[in-house]
This record gives sequence, structure tokens and C-alpha cells, in this order.
Amino acid sequence: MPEDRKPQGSADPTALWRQWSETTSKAWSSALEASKGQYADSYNLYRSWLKSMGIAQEPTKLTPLGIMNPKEVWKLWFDSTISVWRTAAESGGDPLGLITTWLKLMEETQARILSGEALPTNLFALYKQWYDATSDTWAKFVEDTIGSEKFLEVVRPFLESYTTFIKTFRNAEEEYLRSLQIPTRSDVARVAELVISLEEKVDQIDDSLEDGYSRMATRQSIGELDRRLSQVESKLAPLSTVAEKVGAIESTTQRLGQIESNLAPLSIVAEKVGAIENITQRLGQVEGKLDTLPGVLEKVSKFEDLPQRMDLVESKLNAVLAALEKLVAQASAKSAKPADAAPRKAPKKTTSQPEVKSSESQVGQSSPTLEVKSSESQVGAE
Amino acid sequence: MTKEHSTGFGIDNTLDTFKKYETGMRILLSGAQADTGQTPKEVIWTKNKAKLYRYEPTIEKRFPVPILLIYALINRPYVLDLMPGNSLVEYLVHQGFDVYMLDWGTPGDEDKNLTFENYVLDYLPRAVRKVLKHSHAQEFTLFGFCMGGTMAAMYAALFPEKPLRNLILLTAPMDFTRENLGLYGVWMDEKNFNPDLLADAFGTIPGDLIDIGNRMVKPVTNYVGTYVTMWDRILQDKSMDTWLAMNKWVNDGVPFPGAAYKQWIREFYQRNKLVKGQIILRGRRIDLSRITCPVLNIAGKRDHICTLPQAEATMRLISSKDKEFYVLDAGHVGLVTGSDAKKNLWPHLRNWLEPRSK
Repeated sequence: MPEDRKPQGSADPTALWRQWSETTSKAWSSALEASKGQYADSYNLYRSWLKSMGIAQEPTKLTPLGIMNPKEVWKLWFDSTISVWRTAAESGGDPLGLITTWLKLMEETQARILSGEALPTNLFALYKQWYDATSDTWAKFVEDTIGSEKFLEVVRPFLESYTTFIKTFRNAEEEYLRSLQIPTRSDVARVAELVISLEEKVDQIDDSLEDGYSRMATRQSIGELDRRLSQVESKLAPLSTVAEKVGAIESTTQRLGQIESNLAPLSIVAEKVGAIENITQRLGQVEGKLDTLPGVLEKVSKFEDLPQRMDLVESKLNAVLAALEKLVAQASAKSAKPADAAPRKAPKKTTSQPEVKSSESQVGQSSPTLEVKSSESQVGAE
Repeated sequence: MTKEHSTGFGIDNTLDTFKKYETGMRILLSGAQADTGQTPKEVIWTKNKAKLYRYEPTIEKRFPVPILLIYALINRPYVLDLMPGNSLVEYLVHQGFDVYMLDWGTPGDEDKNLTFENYVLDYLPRAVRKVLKHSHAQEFTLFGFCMGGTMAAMYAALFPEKPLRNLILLTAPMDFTRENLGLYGVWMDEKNFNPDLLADAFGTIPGDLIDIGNRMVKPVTNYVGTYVTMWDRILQDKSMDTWLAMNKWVNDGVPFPGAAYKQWIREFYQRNKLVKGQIILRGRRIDLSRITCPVLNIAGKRDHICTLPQAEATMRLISSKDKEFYVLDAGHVGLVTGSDAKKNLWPHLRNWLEPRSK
């Protein structure tokens, strides 16, 4: 390259890299150096890295850009970096093992990158190569760290204090806004909850309506029902005969019931029949006893005084007959006078005279002829 | 080879380099911007902040059994519909499936008391009814991703009968045995972490805080490696679309309702109650052995959010006769997006679903 040739400026990736690293490392170095006296040396890692970057930059400042070999730049950087960090790790400033891990990583990366492969001059390509070479190791390291008990011991109280802070801050905000009579976030949320509850009720109504609609009859469903009804009717037709028979049976059953109810009084009749039978039996017994009476009467007729007593009775009867005849005569005389007034009724009254009462009351006035006839007829009857 | 190597160090190259650095710096300062979730969709139902999307079919529906996708309570579900050409949802729609997605939305302070009872017993069953009604279907396939998979399994255990036809679990943690959890196991140990502290302080746990926890599982990769990749792609003129979409998604965390967060940490991570059958939602015990429907369980070998044993445990806990454990050499998100997903997971999903969606 000719000596008067000007550097290619920002288009040159090596120059870009150098400019970027100069600017950023200076800025970081200043910031970190300024804080060095005030804090524990927690920035040691970065400070070491920046120092090594400064060392690596020195040759690039002196060398014309056109002949700068990226591999040389990397080698210089690695050599100086690894050396500085190894010193830092050995001095005991690496409680979490970060620097040791980083060193290991750097050595692996150095070996890979400087193994003879062509190195890209693009800044990003370099970075990507570095990332590809280191990401797995880094990922494992980070994952081991954040999954460690030591890490979680730090996270636990952090989370507690963080959430406490959030809660306190929110409560304070709410109280403040409330004191200003301004609706707060939770007030709005409460209203929204009411709206959501309302929507839920609408959904329930919607569900009910849907259920209702699904049950509602349509022309199709009615047609289907009609068809099925016809089928049912045709199947029911033979049943009418059966129904008639069932009706007849029912009628018979009904009549049977009536007969039963009619027969109920028969039990009383039966009881009476039983009584009649009893009476018949007793009557038989009475007849049996009466059958013995003629014999007894025969014995009685044999009594000697019986004719005398009969005579006496006859005489009395004659007297009675005489009285009766007399009464009859009187009655005839009386009935002859009012014959004109009631010619039809008189014979009736005459025939009605021989009533039991009248005859008894007029026993002493009956005619003797009639008395004989009567006594004869009465004896014959006895 | 980079452009720089091929053209040397000219003024054009310098300007180009500056433009690239400008691009990178803008992303770092303003965050990644990308159009995500582009598959056409309509909202067919909402509840509180949750929305139920139905993706518009691009071809005639080939399968009568619709798919309902549910995602975790953290991060956004559009990772399943990341961007055109790199979207699982788009792929399924193009295959003739009727696809629905339940987006839990962004909880606010008023949602701090929402619990898994609300999500599994109130939101999910209603969403299922809406899906069935909208698609005129009698059955559906439930597809849960990450915590959404755990919730899907809980739903399936509570409602194992019809209309649930199939269950797909994508990186769904079930067994929270400490040894299976990696760094989470150490951090979430009861003696190290009390979830009440955060829940009581914040009400609804900020998404950024949840995100820190997830990123710290792989801190170097997530905090450094991601941006190394970014610069590499910018400087080498590689497409940034996927990186931007993914980075946007990673940084787009949603708050976690405090009550649900406490349940998630205490009952799942710290006490591992799900596999013990001790999770009880409104008096109803979650017994995973009640799951009898066909199950496709997918996990990634390199997944640090839901480790392989966490997902694998499902296979011994459920009673399904038709079940498959499908393992891919991928991470938590790499399973569903990217070229590997297109080659492996998506066709496998289609092949599994096709005979079970008729």
C-alpha cells in the first residue's frame, strides 16, 4: 500500500472496530476509575477487560490500517486479556468464579478462532463467531448460577421486598387519589366487574333461550310428530276391539257389583229363613204335641159329668139365641121405617149387623132358633 | 457469503450497512412489528375479553367434525396463525377442516379473581356449544396448546362423552414432578417461591413478569442469541418476516389473572395435583383416566417450557385405547411454526385427523 494512501475511514471494519473500542473503553474506564475509591471492587472484571482492550488497541494505532491483520488484532487482545484476568483470578477477587469461567471461555475461544480459520473482518461477523464459540459455555454457566441455592437465597428476599414495595406503593397511590376524590384504578375495576357479572347473567339468559329454542316446535318437527302419530294410530286400530271387550268386561263387572249389592239384603232373608226353619221345626214339635191332643180329648170325653155340663152349656146357648132373635126382630122393625129414605143402604147395614162387637154386646137378646143353629154349628166346628 | 464480502468497501456498501444498522436499531428500540394472525376469520361469540373465532373456509368443508383450538392464558394464540404461509390454522383451513379458536383475551384488573373454574367450566363449555351450533355438528375435536392443552385435558376429563370426539394435546404439561421441570422445578419450589406475593401485589400478574420467568429458563439464548440471529439475518439480507413475527409474539405477553396464577403455580407446579387426581373445580374432581376419546399427544425434545416427561405422562394417565405420542426434535414454539413444522407436524396432524373427523 502506498504511504500517501489515506485510511479508508469508517468503511473499514478494522477502523470501525478500533474507533468503537477506543471510544467505549475510554468512557467505561473513566466511569469505573471514578468509582473505584468509593466502592468495593465489584467492577474488577470489567476494568480488567477494558485494560486489556487498551493494550490491544496500541498496535492498531501505530500500524497502517491497510496492513492490519484481524488475526493479529485478536491474538494481541487475547494474549493481553487472558494475562490480566488470570492475574485477577489468582489474586482472589473472584468469589462467584466468574473470572475463572470467563478465562476458561476465553482460552477455548482463542483456540477456536486462531486455529487457522479465516477470520471475518466484519465487526458483527467477529462478534457472531465469538458468540457461537462461547454461548454454550456461557449458557451453562448462567443456568447453573441462576439455578443454584446461592442465587435463590438472594432472589427470595428480593422478591419479598419488591412485592411489598409494589403493594405499599399502590396502596399509597390509591389513598392519595381517594383523598382527592378521583376514581382510582380499583374503582374502575370494580365497575368493570359489575359489567362482567351482568354479562354473565345475560349469558345465562342466552343459554336458557337457546335451550328454549332448541325445544321449540318447528314445521319440520310438527310434520315428524304428525307422521309418528299416524303410525301410532294405525297401531292402535286393532286395540279398539280389545277396548270393546275390555268395556264389556267392565260392564259385566259393574253389573256383578250391582248384583252383589242386591244380594246383600239376602243375608238378612237367609237369617229370617233360618228363623223360619227354626219356627217350622218348632211348629213340627207343636204339631207333634197337638197330635197327642185327640187322644187326650177322647180321654176327656169319657168324663161322666161332661153331658151335664153340655146341657148346661146348651141351655145357656139357647138363652143366648133367644136374645139374639129378639134383637134381630127389633133390628128388622127399625130398619123398615127409614127404608124410603135410604132404600139401597139398608140391606148393607143389615148384613153388617152380625159384627163381632155388636153380637157380643147383644148376646142376651138373640133368638133361640138361631141359638140352636149356632150352637150346633159351633159344636160341629169344635 | 455476505454482500459486503462480495462487493468490497464502497460508499454504496457503507450506506447499505448503515441502513441495516438502522433497521436493527429500530427493531431494538420500537419492538418487532409484523402482521400476524392474517387468516380471515370472524368473531362468532364473546365473553368478557374472550373471543371465539371461526376461520373462513377457503375450500368446501371436507370434514363434518370441527376443530376448536385453545391456547394458554399467557401469550397470544396467534402463534398458531403466525403469518401467511407459516400458519397451522391456515394449513388446516386449506385442508378442508372447519377451524375455530378461543382467544382468552387480555385480562384487566377486574379479572384478577378469574380461576380455572371459570375458564374450564364457564368459558370452554359455552364456546363448545357455540362451535357445535355454528358448524351444525354433533361432535368436535379439541386442540390445546401448552397450558391450553392442560385445560383441554381437564375439560375432557370432566366431559368425556359426546360431543367430544378427539383430543389433541400440543406440548401440554400434565406431570409437574420436580425432576421433570428443569429450572422451573428449582424456582417454583415452595420454599423458594410464594405465588401469593405476586398475586397480592399485582392482582393480575403483568405479562412482562411472566415473560421474564419464561425467558430465564434459557437466558443466553433468549436475551442474546435472539438478537444475534436478528443482526445476522439483517446483515446477510435474509428474510426477517418470520423472525419479526416470532419476536413480536414472544414480547406480546398477556397478564395472568392472579387467582388462576396462584392455582397454576401452587396446585400444578408445587403440589403436582393434576396427576394425583386432586384438582377439584367447583366440587368436581379432575380424573384424567376418564378420558377415553382418541388422543394425539405431541411434544418436543428440546422444549424447556413443557419438558418431554411432563407431556409423556398423559399417555399413562388417560384410558383412551386410540392414543399416540408423537415426538419431534423441536422446541416449544418450533413445533408449530417454521419449515420443520410444515414438513413434520402439519401433515401428521392432517393424517391423524382425517379418519377421525368423518
